[in-house]
Amino acid sequence: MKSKNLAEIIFCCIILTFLAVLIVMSRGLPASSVRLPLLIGGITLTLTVVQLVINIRERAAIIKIENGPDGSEAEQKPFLTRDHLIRLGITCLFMVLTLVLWYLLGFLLAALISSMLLAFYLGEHRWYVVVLSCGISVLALYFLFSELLSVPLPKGILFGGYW
Amino acid sequence: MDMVISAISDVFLPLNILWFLGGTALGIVAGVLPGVGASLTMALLIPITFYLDKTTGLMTLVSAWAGAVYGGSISSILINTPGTGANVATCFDGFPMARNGKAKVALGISATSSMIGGLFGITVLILFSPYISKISVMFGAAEYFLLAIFGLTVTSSTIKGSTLKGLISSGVGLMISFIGYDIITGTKRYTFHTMYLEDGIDFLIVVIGFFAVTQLFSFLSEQGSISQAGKIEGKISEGIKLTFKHIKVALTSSIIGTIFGFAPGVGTTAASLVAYSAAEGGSDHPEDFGKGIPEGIVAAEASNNAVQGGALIPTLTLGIPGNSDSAVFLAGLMMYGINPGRNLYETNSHLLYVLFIALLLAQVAFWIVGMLFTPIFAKITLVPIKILLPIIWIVACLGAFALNNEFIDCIVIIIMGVIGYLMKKLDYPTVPLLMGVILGHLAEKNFARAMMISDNSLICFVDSPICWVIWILIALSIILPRMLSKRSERKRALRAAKEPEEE
Repeated sequence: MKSKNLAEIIFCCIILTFLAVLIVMSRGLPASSVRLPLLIGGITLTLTVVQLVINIRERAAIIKIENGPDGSEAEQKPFLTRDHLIRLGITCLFMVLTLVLWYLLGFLLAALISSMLLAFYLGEHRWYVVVLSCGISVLALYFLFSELLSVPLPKGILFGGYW
Repeated sequence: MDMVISAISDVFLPLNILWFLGGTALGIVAGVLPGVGASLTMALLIPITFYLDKTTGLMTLVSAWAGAVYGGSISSILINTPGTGANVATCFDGFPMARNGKAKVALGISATSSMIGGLFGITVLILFSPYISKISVMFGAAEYFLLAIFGLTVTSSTIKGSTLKGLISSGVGLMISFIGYDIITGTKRYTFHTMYLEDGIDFLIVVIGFFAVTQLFSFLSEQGSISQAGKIEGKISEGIKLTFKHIKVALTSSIIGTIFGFAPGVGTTAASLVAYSAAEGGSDHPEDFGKGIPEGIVAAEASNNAVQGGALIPTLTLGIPGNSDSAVFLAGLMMYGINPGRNLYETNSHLLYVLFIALLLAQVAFWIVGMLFTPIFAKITLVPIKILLPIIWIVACLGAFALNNEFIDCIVIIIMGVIGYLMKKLDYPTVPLLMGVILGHLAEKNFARAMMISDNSLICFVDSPICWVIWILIALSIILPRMLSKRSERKRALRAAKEPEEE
């Protein structure tokens, strides 16, 4: 609960920063363009400050309970475990890798390589299952988008494609 | 009568039926793929069907449109990724039902309620379009602004959990919608000096990020398959029976969908979200919504298919497309020589009857195709997550890329996915944010127009009967859910008090 509360406070701060930046960027723009955004931004900012105050008070209460007279600290399930955070981070990296490969090698190769690597990372070690499932899916999607729906897919700059 | 019989005999020619079924299948496939949708499918079919007979071409377009709107529900239910914006609300209860091992039941409900909603909307179109078109014309800037506010209040007041967090979500969604060019003055706002943000952030990008990518991150901590039960329970017929059990919800949602359809520019997504929220607010057990309840799917799917009929009312009678799908359809109509307007019934009556019959048939056609392939679709929920996850990512990436052919859209969906995941973990509802992004443009554009027309006077928001009706609906949308939830709390308390007495 403590770590979740901390995450809520950080999230509120991120929203406040986002809203504050947008409000500051409204300077110099015509009044008619920013009338409604400033109104909505101001109201949302106020509500977010209220939520932040609630979260800070909750944190104070949690700390008070933890440092209570009996001095015991209740066992808590962490909001996000370290392992889960690492998995999230690596998955995000795989996603970015997909896009980089897409830029270099084109959709088909990039999708095949990145989907197989991700499946291996997630724990599927039967190579024939990975190759078959990812291969068939990617080829089917390529055919659907590129041939049937005529959506132009990039060929990758290494193969003479362009952006 | 002769015209109707002639139209029926034309529709049931073997070649026409073949193209019709092909259009349905293509529409369903296109609907399943995020980022594709009915507009793109019809846009691709128009040049192909140009060389066909008018009847054949028209039937193909109609069937593809209906199929695409239904098809989006399949990916919503199976992998929590709406195929089109119209199927966002289907995810809320469709995916939890699939997770409970009832994918077949969920797919059965979605197909049947889509058919009911579609038939309702088309029936209203056939019987009442000349009369309803007069109401479409009465919608001005002030009415559209209030309609947008109604959409926001309905979703914000019926969300579960903290209302404060819901309002913050709404506000952030509205602020995201303000990024890009100001529609009225053409001023660049909040673009951070990037060309990409000058066009704003497409709401489908937000949808793909918040649903597909967020769900992907949620799956990381799980093993097994989508179906947590490890098997598929229930039958398709159960889904059909459940739809008819909640026929009141289906009809109410169809009415909402039809109304949102004939108010041009409001959109199918808003219709399905409002219908879902209305069904939740009016339910005796609103706390079960979002956990895999049949009414949730019925409300979402009936409304989004009813929009088709509603959107065609201003399209055919006034030449004003009701939404983006009907705009592309209008282009197809004009290519076949059907010019919308008051004289449509006199000048093109044969093609018009063909259109009506094809529209009605299309609702049944996708139901039949859906029922046939549901057992195959449902098996996706048994595929191990570690194999499905990379495929979902590739589909999401392709869908985001297909929208604008912009590479950076794929990066944005990752960012949206991270934000959506954090919001989910911290109990911030995402529906109000989506509504804010969808309705922000509509609200701002019409607010500015209304103020310009009325010379900056706020009286314009209360000086027409339609405005009064919408104000009443806004008030009801705020008061009713509270009253109904208090009533259901009292009922639950009474039930709980009776149980120990009976023991």
